[in-house]
Order: sequence, then structure tokens, then C-alpha cells
Amino acid sequence: MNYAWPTAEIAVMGAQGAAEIIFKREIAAAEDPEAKLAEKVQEYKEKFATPYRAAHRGFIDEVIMPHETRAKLIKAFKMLENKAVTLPRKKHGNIPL
Amino acid sequence: MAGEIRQAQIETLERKNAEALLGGGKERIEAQHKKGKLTARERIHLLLDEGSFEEIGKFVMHRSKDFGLDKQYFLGDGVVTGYGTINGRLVYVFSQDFTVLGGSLSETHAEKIVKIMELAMKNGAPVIGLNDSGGARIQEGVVSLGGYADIFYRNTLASGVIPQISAIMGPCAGGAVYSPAITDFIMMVEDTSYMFVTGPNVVKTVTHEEVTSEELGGASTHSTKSGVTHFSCANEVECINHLKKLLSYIPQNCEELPPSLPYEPQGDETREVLDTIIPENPNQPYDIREVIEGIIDADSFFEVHKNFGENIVVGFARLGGRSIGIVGNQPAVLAGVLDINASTKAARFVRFCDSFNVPLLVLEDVPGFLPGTDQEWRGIITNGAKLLYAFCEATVPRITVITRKAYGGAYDVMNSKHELRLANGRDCRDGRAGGC
Repeated sequence: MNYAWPTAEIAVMGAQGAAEIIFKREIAAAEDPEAKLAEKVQEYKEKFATPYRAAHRGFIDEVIMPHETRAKLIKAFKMLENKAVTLPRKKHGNIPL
Repeated sequence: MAGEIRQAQIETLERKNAEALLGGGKERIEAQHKKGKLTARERIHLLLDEGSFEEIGKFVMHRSKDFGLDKQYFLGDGVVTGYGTINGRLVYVFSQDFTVLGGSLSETHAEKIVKIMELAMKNGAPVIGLNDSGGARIQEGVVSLGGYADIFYRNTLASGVIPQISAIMGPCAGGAVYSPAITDFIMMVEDTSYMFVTGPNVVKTVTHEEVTSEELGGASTHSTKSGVTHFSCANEVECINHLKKLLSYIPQNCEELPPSLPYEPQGDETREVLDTIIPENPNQPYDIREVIEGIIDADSFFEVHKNFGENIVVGFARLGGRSIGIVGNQPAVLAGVLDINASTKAARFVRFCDSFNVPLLVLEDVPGFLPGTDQEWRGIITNGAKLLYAFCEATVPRITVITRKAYGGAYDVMNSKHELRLANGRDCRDGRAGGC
């Protein structure tokens, strides 16, 4: 199970770095590059620096309030207590040592 | 006259028992105490439930005839072995006796250890090694080395079958280090224990480095710099208490579940304290331990590798009475970034938990992997992959809570949904694993 708090930021990188890469030309071409960057950072933050993109995809099962966490986890671990998974047959894997 | 013969027989046994209990003799026991160390038997006494210890191989003696050893025999041959209980649960234990020829490992000393290891594997109970040995019994040569190898082989076979715990309570040098290294957990006692492959004298000869035993391989070195030891304990009593506590979170063997404590739902499991931990400014650190404490049963967190790779926090805890393993990025150290030490530390912990059916809780706040030549040249790729591999292969119940940042490849590594899905492949027995 995967939970996220509302404070979660699930993204390829932080908003600053992402905006600098994605909008590189746009920022360079702007009259006020700094203001442009700030605007794009904000845009990226609103779009990606949240748990909701991941939740829309089901990568996050539920976005929960921090105070609910203990109760949710107790229930979820109980729900999973009979979990059974079989891995492919093999002699043993080759963990990158 | 039959009575006299019987009396003599009884006296012989009593004499031998008394002799064995004295190990290397009164003087050496005093010397041991002067160093602030307990004897092999005193340690067992502290470790096991009162009166539960049953010794195996008390009268074993070495078979060596060379270099004057034919005139030096000690009953037990430098190691006390047997079984007993800790909080009512069976354990096997060997405790090396430094008062007997420096606790040196002979062929027969090794045989005694191997014997209880095999019993432990057959009967599915943990093996605890209390190490205090100067190393190989040099007089025996390759036979002693063979003894080590026999132990390493059993350590390897037993890995993942029964928990193996090593407490280092004196010297542990040379080849001897490799048995603890293979075991699941190492505990070291500050100031009186050290572990190294080669000691300060050899180091000086080869590399001209001047270094003390403590600096080279003491508890503080191995608990902070190398990560060789999982626990650094102030003294032997604390070490033994830690060992007992550790056992309380883990099962007897890989086929059992960890012991649960009774849990009566108290009604309200709401924890308002968790709502105010994450700072408004995403670049401001906080201590992940506050989140852990806010979630788990009161005072149940038992941290592993506390002072090593501090940008990740791992340890055992109880949640509603259930034993769980926790892996949490630590934003308070290096912003919680993943580096080589953090990755290998967490990977090993995840592997242990999965081997022994301890469910995993991941608390994620990770800005990514640590950049730089140091990390790249030392192989952050390979080492980071260890953690990824460990999570992917883990089949125990696994739950992730993303508290704040989950950026880049580090998002994938930290027990993401996608790794969980991998377990849902064609070999999934009944399809129940979906997404758990």
C-alpha cells in the first residue's frame, strides 16, 4: 500500500530545477527572466509538487492526513497479514554487491 | 567397597565440573575482570533466563601435541556452548572464554561452535555468539583455519534460516571477523572490543600508518565510519540487554512470524501531533524520528545502525502490537538524500526483515541521490541498486507513506508502487499480491 500526506511532492525533481530545464528557452527569451522563472516554478509546483498526479494514476492508493496515519497503517498491516507472493523459480538472484 | 568406588566416580565428575567452570583459572579470571570484562559464563548468566542454560561439550579438550600444547589442557577448550531461553524462547549460544589460551580458536573449539549451529538450524532457533578471542590458535596451524572455515560455511547456510547475532566483547581479529560479518547483527562494546582484518602492527608495517586498536576497529569506528557494527554499547550489560530486546522483535526462524504483543484497540488512534511536524518551507529539515514516534506504539522504536548513514533511519518498532521494520529518509541529515552508506544500510535491513517475515513501513522524504565524484566513483549506481533490489524482492507486507519529497530515481527506489507491482508477476500464486 502507498499513502501520501497532502505535503507530498512526487516529481522528477524539485520545481526550481525542473522549471529551469523545461522552460529554458522561454525564460531566456523573456524580458524579465527572473520573473518568468518564478512564474514557471510556481506553475510546475502547482502541477507536480503534489501527491495528486500520482494518486490519479493509482501510484498512491490514498492521500491521508498525517493524524490518520497510525490508524490507517494498523488496519492496512492487518489487511496484508496473509499476503502471499511467489517469486520466479531460480537458484538465487544476483544482487548487485 | 562398592560405595567407595561410586564415591570416587562422583568426586571425579564433581572435580571435572569445577575445573571446567574455572576456565583458564582464577588469576586469568581476575585479569579479565580488571579489564572491565565479564567471563564467558558470567555473560551467559546475564543473557539467558535464570537457570535455563544447559551446557553442551563442557569436557571437550584439544587434540594438539605441538609447541607444548600437550602440557596445556583446559576442559571446554576456550568456548562455552549450549542452549537456554530468553524470555522463554529457545536460543543457542556460544561464549568464547578469553581466560583459556586467549580464547583462541582450535579445531575442537570450532567443532563445539559448529555443533550448536547445526542444532540451531535443525531446531529453528537463533544462534548467539559472544565473541572474545585472540584469533586462531597459532600452534594448531591450518587445522585452526579449517575450524574457522567450517563456522563460516554454517553461518552462510544458516543465513536467512535462523537469526544469527554476534556480540563482540573483546578482540575479534583476522579471519575471525568473518563469522560475525556474515551474521545478521553485530553488537560491539565500547573500549573493550575491536574488530579488524589486520591489527595496528601490521598496518604500520604495510602502510606506515600509526593507529590505535580503538581507532582502527573499535566500537565507535565501526558504528560510525564503516557500519560494520549495528550497535555500539556502553558496556557488556547494556550490550546483552540490547541483544535481548532485538530478539523480542524477530521470529525464531524464517518459517515463523515475529512475536506479537496483545493489542486492544483504544478506540481513537488519531495522532494530532503528526499534523504539525512537516515545516511549511519545503527546504526546512525536521526529524523523521518524530514522525516514527508519532505513528508507532509508545516507546517501541529500536533503532539499528543509529550512527551510521544517518541520512536514513532504520529500526524495529511495534504498531498495534505487531512487530514491523521501519525505513525512513532523515531530512535532518543531508536533507535525507540517498548515498552509498544510506543505501547499503537500508538494503541490508530490508533483506533481514524480508528473510524473517517482518513487515516493512517506509517513510519517504527524499530529494534524490547525493551528487558528486566521490559518490559516483565509489559506485552509488551499484550501491543504490542494492536498496532497489532489496525492496523489489521483498515479499513481506510493505507500506509506504510519502511525507514530503519523492523526487527522481529515489522515488522509484524507496518502495514505490511500481516495485510492489513487480511482485505481481506470472509466478504470483493467487493474484492476491496486487499492489500490496
